[in-house]
Parts: sequence; structure tokens; C-alpha cells
Amino acid sequence: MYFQNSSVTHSRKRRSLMRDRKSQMQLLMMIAPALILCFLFCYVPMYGIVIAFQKYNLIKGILGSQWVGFSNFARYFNSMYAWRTIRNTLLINVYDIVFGFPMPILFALIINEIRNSTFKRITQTVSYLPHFISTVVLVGIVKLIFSNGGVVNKTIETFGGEAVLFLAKPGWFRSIYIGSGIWQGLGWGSIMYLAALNGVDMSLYEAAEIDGANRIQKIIHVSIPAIVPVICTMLILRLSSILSVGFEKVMLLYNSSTYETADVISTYLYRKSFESSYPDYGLSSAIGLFSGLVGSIFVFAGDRITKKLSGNGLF
Amino acid sequence: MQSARSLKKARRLSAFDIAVYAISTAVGLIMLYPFVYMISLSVSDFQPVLNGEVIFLPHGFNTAAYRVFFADNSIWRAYLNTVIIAVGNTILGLAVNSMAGYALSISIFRWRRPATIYLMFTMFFGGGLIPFYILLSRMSLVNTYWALIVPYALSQWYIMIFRTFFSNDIPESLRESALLDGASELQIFRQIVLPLSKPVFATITMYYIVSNWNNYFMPMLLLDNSELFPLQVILQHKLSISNAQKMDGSLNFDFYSAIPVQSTRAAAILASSLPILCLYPFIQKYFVKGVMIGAVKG
Repeated sequence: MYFQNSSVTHSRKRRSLMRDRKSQMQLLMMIAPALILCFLFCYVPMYGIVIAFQKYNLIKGILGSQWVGFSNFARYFNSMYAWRTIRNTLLINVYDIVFGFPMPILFALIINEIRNSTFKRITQTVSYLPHFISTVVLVGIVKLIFSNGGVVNKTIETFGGEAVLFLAKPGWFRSIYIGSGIWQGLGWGSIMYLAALNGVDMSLYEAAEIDGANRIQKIIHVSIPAIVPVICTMLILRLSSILSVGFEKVMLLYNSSTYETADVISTYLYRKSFESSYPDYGLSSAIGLFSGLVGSIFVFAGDRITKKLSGNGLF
Repeated sequence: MQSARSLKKARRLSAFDIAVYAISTAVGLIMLYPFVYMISLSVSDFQPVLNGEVIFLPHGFNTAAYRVFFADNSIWRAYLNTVIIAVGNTILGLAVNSMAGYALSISIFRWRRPATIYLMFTMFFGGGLIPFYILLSRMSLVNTYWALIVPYALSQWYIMIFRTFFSNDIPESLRESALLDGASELQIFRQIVLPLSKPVFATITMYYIVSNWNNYFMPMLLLDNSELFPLQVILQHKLSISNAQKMDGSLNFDFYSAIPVQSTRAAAILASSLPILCLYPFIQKYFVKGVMIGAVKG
């Protein structure tokens, strides 16, 4: 009896061990395509980082090209373009954080105060719409609105002003870039905050009301504290991409007369390697490596800060 | 008594309510206005557009801009290319990412942690654009549909969304009992997990459709052959045709030169966005879901 019982458990154990080994193998096979694609298209290009330290020649390849140490980096940082591109990249991001980042928060707080649920839903649906159009379309619309015969200039002329060449003036580039970004991202960016606001316990509002709080006081003392954690996470995610800008959008929106304020790191890199008759892959890779490294530092620093502040990080 | 009072209170609009409605109505109008402006520019008669009189509603009615847009064969070719790339990329991406997400959602999977780190690392660090381009050209992928279908099938972000969904919404007991019945992991995935996961698959499908439809930069970089150009590349080309180019007669439409550029551009913008705008109700629903799933930290 005892013997039999033990052999049953034993074989059951063995069977489950075998099954586990089979499961492990099958799961590995299922994740394998992703691992292979990741290896091919994410890890293999990393060997290309060495191009940053070479005078790279497409025909000679990596093994045949001449090593030049840090001279590609030196060439970038000594050129007039380094300061211009780094400054423009940082400024676009800083302005976007100052003016663009708070907008979805304000919008979410306002939406949250709408009492009529139909009206609320329609407003939300309408506000998400611009998120789904392509950058080409967005820039196309911006150009039609701000061009010489566009509605903005026509309005200015109606009121007796003089038409402004918005798209050719370096002074207007950042405003147009960030303004159109707000238009496109306002509704979409508010989703996370609205979700957090929906989770607020109604009794908190009732308690505040009993204490005599008016609606603005309720926003300040109940709604805002409820979304502070979300704001922190979003802000850190946003800060981590401080050295990258919507490259596609800048490329479509700028032109040689606005380079002064519009040329950013990635557009410069692109012009150097794909729009020039003598592609300078070494220089571009060095610039790419520099901005990639700074970006990673911001991500990890941001993660550390969130962990310190709120106890949970991004990873 | 209490409810009657709160009812009365709810009905009365305070100054605060009026401000809320005014601001949200204004925001809604600002969101919609550019679309209205595009419609009006594209369907108005030529002269009001040229005079700059069209600023809100259409003046007259004229579909010439659309007729010219659709008379060009390259547009139909571009729609087709976009569909081919989108379908290929979506199918491959759904297969690769959902299976990976499933494997990562199984708590006893021994490679779970190393595989997660291996995949996540590349979200924050990569070789950059140039090595990627050189690699694709060495693999002879440049100038083929494959360049846009294969490398971008993998998405660490979608893997995480799948993983979160599978581990939150599929009870582990289902898998265990199927294992006892002798099912393999792939069978469990196909026969038990898939039927229960329609919402997340719909969400990710929508993400793929929209991102493929709107993709401009990568096709522009990786394709030279204009036969292969997807919609956004052709659209950008059409948007950058200036008045001067129109006049030089290289475009063989008698009436083409009479149409204001604003109208042809607005028509091109709307015609190329139309499929997305038609799908919008579904897209919007599933996209919001995706944000919510993604927000739950895995």
C-alpha cells in the first residue's frame, strides 16, 4: 500500500517534471521569433557604433575602414552646427515641456467638471481626432493655415495688419511647432489623467463639500492631488526624451530659411548622411551615439528619481 | 427631500459650469476647425479660394480637386502599396508579439526575466539610424516591401501590452487544466488564449493599421522605386508641388493649372486621411483601451 502510493507520487512527479521541461521548450520556441528579430534588427546594428570611431567608407566596410579615434566627435563639437543643433533640440523640448505638457492636464481637469455625460463624451471624441492624422497631413494643414493666402494671414489683413511669412521666419518656428503639437496631442494626452480622475473616491468630494469647499477648491484639494503621481510619471517619461524631437515633423516643417531655430540634432544627422552627395557616416554615427547616450542617461536618472520619490520606477 | 435638493442643484448652471462648457466648446471647435477649413478649401469654386475668401464654410461647389487627385494612377498604386505593407506588417507583428507576450506572461517560464531584459534593453539603447540602414542594404532589403514589413514587426511595447493582458485577464488555472489534459503550450495559446483575447488583438491591430497608414519617414528612407511608394510618400510629393511646377506643363491635365494649389493640397490631405477618419469610431475605442492596458504596469 505504502509502496504503491509512493511510486504513484514518484511517477507523477516525474511526469510533471517532463511536462515542465516540454513546456519550457515550447515557450522558448514561441518567444524565439521575437528574440531573433530583436537580435537581427536591434543588436546587430549596435556593432555599427564603431563607425563613430572610423572614417567610414561604404565599400571598405567596417573592417577595412580607417580608425580615427574620437575625431568624429571632435569635428562635430568644434563645428558651428553642434551648438546650434543641441541648443535647438533642448529649446524645443524645454518650451514643449513648459507650454505643451500642462495642457492635457488642464484639459482633463476641465473635462472632469462637465456634468452632462453626452457632452463630455462628444468633447473627448472630438479632441482625440487630431491624434490619428499623419505628420505629413498635420504639416500640410499647418502650411495651408499659415501660408501667405491662408486663413491666419487673411484674418490679419482683414484687421489691417500685414501678412507674416510664418513658415519662413526662424522666430515663428518654435511657436508653430509646439502649437501644432498641442493641437494634435491635447485630447490624447489627457486620457491618462482622466483615468486617474475617474478613480477618485466620490466621498472625498462630498467630504470637501461638507467642509464648505467650492468647486475650484475641490479641484485644488481633491482632483489635483489625485493625479500628481500620474503627472510625475509622465513628466519623467517626457524628460527622458529631452534630446529627441519629432524628427519627421521638423523635417517636414522646416526649410533652409528657418534652420537657425529649427535644425535639430537628428535633422542635421539625416542631412549629413542621406541628403549630402558625400555621406559622412562617421560623423552621423558619432552624433547619433552622443544623443543616444545622453538619452539613456536621462531615462535611468529619471527612473532612479521616481523610485526615490514614489517608491516605484518605470521598470 | 435630499434628492430633490440635489436635483435642483444639478439643474442650476453656475458661472463655473458656464465657464466649463464655454472652454470645452471652444476646444472642440479648435480641434474641428482645421478639418472644416480643409473641406471648404477642397470643394469651393476656384475664384473664392484664390481671393482668400474661403475661411470657414465652402463658397460654391467644385469637385475638380478630387477628380484630379484620383485621376492620377500613382495614387491608386500608393493605396495598394500601403495596404500590402500594412497587412504584412500587421500579421507578422501580431504573430510575433502575441506569442512572445504569452511566453512572458507564464510565471514558471525560466527565460522570462533574461528575455525581458534582453528585449527591453533595446528600447533605450540602439545602434542608430545609419548602422540600421547599412544593415538593411547589406541584407538587400532596401527597396523592397520587406524592409517595411519585417524589421518593424517586432515591438517591445506591444509585447508588454500582450503580456499584461494575458497575465491579468486569462486565469492561470485554465492553462493548468489544459496542461493536465495533455495540451501543448501552442495549443493552449491557439485554442484557449486566442478566443479570450479578442479585445487586445483588436487594439494592437488598430495600432498597426494607423501607424502603417501614417508612416512616412521609413518608407521615404528605405524605398527608391516610386512603384513601391506608400500613400504618405506620394502625398508629401503632391503637397510639395508648387505653382511653378504646375505651370510648366509637365502634368498633363488641361484644367489642372486652373485649380488653386490650396484646393489640390486640401483635397489630397482629406482623401488620404479618409480611411482613417472612417474607421475613427472603432480606432478611437480600441486605442483608448490600449492606453489603459499599457498603463497597468506589468
